[in-house]
Amino acid sequence: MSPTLASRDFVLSLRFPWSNFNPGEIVLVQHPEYHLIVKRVSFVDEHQIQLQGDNTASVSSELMGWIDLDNIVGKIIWHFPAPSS
Amino acid sequence: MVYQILSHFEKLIKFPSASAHCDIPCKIYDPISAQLATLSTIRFLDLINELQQKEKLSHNERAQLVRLIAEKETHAAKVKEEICIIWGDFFKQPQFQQFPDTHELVHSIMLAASACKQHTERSNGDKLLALVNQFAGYFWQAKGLETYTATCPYPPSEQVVYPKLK
Repeated sequence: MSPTLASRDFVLSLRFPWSNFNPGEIVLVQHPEYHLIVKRVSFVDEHQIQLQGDNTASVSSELMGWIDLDNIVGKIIWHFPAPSS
Repeated sequence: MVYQILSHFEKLIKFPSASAHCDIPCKIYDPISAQLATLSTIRFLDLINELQQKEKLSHNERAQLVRLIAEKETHAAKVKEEICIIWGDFFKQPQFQQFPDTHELVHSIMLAASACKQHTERSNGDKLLALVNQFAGYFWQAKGLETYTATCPYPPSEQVVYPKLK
């Protein structure tokens, strides 16, 4: 997710029962293959979303596949960048 | 300031760690690269030790010794690199739960490979191969494949762990 997020950054995610998800938002997802990942929502269907990374070398949306809404841990609402070393 | 406070809390309460997965996911992982580099390191150790038996080295033999030492360094470093890639990119929490001593094993491999770089005793290569084979066993088991051990059909003719692919 570079340059938006970098290694060692802290993020705070929240999800409420009424939460909805929109393209462009960053979410924390429990992916069946990649496990806990943080990615940007690229496309929203009724019960599923697609993800994309901000970095050109990111895993592609196709490889990450459709993500069930149940697998979304939460929306990133706060980002605490690690101090540059 | 907030980051420092969070870092402090993170040491007390381990926060879940999320990955951003920016590596290109070729998904092609195979410990055979590390195993071959280990076998090469052992082979170079053997050839170096053969030269050490001689009382006096010719000009050509000295040049060969320098080359063997350089290649031994290169291949021992390659072992470390290949193992680190699989450990860092392939192994995730489920695999670490399946093989809780993976971190310790990888660290042992790093130390054994460094010993191969620093010294010329064959026993260092033998130890490295045993550890890399153990790691290969973990890797294939994590992928749901059985393994078998066979003698590699080329020098240094050592025992290598292979996956049963049929």
